[in-house]
Amino acid sequence: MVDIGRANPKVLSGLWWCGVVSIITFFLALWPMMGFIPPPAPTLTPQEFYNLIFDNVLMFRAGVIVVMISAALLLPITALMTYFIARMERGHTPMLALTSFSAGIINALLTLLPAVVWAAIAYREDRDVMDMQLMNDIMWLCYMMYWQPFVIQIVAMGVTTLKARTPETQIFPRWYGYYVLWTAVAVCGGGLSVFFLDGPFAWNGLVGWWLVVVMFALYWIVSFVVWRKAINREALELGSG
Amino acid sequence: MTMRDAALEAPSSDRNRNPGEDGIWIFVGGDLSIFALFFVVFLYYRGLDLELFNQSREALSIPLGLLNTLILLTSSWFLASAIEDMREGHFERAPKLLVGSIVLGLGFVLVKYFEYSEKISNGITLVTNDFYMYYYILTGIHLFHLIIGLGVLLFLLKKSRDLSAWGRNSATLFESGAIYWHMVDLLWIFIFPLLYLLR
Repeated sequence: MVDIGRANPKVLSGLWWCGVVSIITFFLALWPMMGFIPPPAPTLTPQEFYNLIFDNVLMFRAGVIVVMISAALLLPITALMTYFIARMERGHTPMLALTSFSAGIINALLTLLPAVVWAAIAYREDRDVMDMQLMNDIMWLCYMMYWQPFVIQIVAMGVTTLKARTPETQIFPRWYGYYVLWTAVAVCGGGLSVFFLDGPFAWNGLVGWWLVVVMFALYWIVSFVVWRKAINREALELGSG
Repeated sequence: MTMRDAALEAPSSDRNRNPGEDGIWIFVGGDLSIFALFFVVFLYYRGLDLELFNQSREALSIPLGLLNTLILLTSSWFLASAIEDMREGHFERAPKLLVGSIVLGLGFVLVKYFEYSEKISNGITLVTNDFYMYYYILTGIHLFHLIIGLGVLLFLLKKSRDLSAWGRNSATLFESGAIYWHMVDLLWIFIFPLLYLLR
């Protein structure tokens, strides 16, 4: 029998805020700073792509830094998710928490690491524009095709939520479990982007981009509300504010 | 659910409540709206190049599509009968019906395999033209859902073998699983006419 005990609710709250900041800064960097919402069309010519980046390259470089900070802040939120799952697995060795934890680390790494490719694109202006296009392809395919760790991370959350049926282990409403599993199924579609240069399934298309990014953003908004309530309840139970 | 849990539950006789639990409808409603989006996208692009879509459609095998429709409907019927049996308190036949449901699901996969390989051997792939792109993507995403559904059915089969009483928890579990499987069925009933029949 394993009981991981109770975390300090103030620490949980801190982790929660890291997550909120992570998601907000991620969209802030991609949207106004880098101009990547929606992403540059795969059909842009290398020269058009070059103009897009170097018209305001200082802001673009700053955006890359923000993306990297935001990616690192996925680590505290991974710890928070792991704690919740382990709480729901109380009485058993928290294997699903470990699964989610390892997937969360890889997910943060795969958000952090490719961002440096953007930094390299913006680093040297006299580079061959064809090479810039190649680097940008690699970058977007990384972001759209690496959905697997994120899906494993949240499937572990969804499954545990549905398995937790006793009053001591149930910390999330059951609909949340189904909601998370639906998100997991819906974001897989990004993987199709490697087949398409244009149309709805390309990395800037209605399905390949908009569906995935809306589901992704909604997942975080819904989760932050649900998690906040769980943290507040923990604080109440432990009698500390 | 263990046998002890099942025995502890009050028998559920209330037929007026919604089947399954409320949460599963979030999943199903959400997934159906994503497919609705796919269908609208398909119809939009179809409208842009009606001739190509109509001409390409003729290469699809309507008998195989129809066969798969019947397979899924029958599979759903097996599953519904299994649940009906368990609700009435008969637990011997239900696992057999569930096996039937699973075998039919595998049959669907087999038919799809022949359909895909026949297309591919004729040089028709995802990149041949826009129609086949939608053909492969829509049927492929549906197949992905169906394979998840087979996992759900296997799980239900395992649970049905341990079951000795029908209660709130078992109703939730089996009905939620069945709702998912019926959704896979329903999606095919939309995809089949859209791709194979619409002229």
